[in-house]
Amino acid sequence: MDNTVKRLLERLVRRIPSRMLKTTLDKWSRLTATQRQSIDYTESKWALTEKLLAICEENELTVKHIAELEMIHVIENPNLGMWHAFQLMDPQDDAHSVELTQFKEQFKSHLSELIRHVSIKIKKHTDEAVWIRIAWGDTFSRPNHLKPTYVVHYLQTPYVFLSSLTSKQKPLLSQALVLSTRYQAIKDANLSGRKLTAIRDLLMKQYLQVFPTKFPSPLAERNRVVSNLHIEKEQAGSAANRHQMACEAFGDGLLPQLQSAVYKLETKFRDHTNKTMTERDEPFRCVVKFASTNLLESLRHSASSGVASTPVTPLLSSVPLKGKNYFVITDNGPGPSSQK
Amino acid sequence: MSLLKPFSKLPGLNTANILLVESEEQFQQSLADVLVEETSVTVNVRLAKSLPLPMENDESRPRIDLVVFIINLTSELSFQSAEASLKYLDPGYFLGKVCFMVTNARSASAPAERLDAVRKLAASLHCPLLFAEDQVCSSLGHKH
Repeated sequence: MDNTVKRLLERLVRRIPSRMLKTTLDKWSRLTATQRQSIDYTESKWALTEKLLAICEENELTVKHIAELEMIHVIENPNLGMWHAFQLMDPQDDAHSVELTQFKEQFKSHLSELIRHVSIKIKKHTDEAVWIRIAWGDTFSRPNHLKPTYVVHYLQTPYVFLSSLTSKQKPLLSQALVLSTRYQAIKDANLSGRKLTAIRDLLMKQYLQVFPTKFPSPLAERNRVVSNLHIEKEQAGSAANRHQMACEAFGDGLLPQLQSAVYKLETKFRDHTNKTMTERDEPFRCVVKFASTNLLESLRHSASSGVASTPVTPLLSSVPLKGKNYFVITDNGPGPSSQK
Repeated sequence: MSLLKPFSKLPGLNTANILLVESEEQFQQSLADVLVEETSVTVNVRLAKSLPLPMENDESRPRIDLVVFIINLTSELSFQSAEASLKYLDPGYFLGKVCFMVTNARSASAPAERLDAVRKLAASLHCPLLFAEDQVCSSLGHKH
């Protein structure tokens, strides 16, 4: 049996939790009913791998079939790995009418033209997302299925999400994407995170937005929640105000889970008491990183609790507003400015 | 300056009004829930983040009999906020109508210097210093 098939299958069985293995294999539908029934999912992973290898050999499955299985697993678990968002720029006239078959054909043909040995699998998911798995080879070697790149594109939007792409592969993929989507360029959206669904929701604003309003609770009498007549909040007004401004900046309810925000500062050092630093010509370089299990939730809470002053500074509110979590701040503008 | 005055209003009959001041606005809610359960007297609790209190409430606010400053020892902001609020209390309060309550004293992230600073502050103002935790027995691994 081909070594790559063995290695890929071994790695896959290791990665998929035992409780999900059955459903994933059923979805794959490359095994007969008898074969599926013969697998005992309570066995150790090692035993399962051996069993599956035997079945795959029986069915003469190739590395492409195992790649299918991997793709099923990745699509079911989009919140593993590291995803980077990109945005397509300057649509041509027919960009908005690109539909699936056209995109598939065009992408495959453009990428195969650019690179001799490449293995591409495209699959449309139920939620309008087009998933692409690319195994890269080059002029002399066959595609490496152990280090695939995954691309997710939502048709009729300019958004593309990538995982595991090297700097060498980037220009090739960018070219193929731009040509097949009928845009003119693609740029880094400066947004990355572990959860694909989170960065997608943030970019496409698929969470509860709060709009500025002068009268947040018009039916105050009806809405009054009395916890206890003997307890009264002195500063309920300003607390409600802070909460409103925090929600206006970050949104209400469950927020998309971002893990970090990075600010790269390239500004002149400003402190009158420190002459040595202020006299330097070069800008002061500094990187500030905010990290959290749910960064937007933390920022919203720090604004509503008063730790961060309200109205929320544009440095923080830019994260949900612009859908970015990487900023380069220079002296040129008053707010955060970004570079490519 | 809008000082909170201890004797400018008449006391309530069989009633006590307690003001809990806490920058984080967390512990004060659970403390308030317990305080109002007192049955022999009527206990009213007012919650604030810091002083000064809003002027809009001056008319309707009853006489405050006790001011409790709740300080989270793991937060410098909590301590500074409480310190800054002190100057909005009329000096008359410091004759037995103010106390300091400190939480998370056992926490590893509470520096010893901060507790010392709180102790000094309480001592200099002749106010009692209480220690409290908002953990329930069950979370400490005890069985009821």
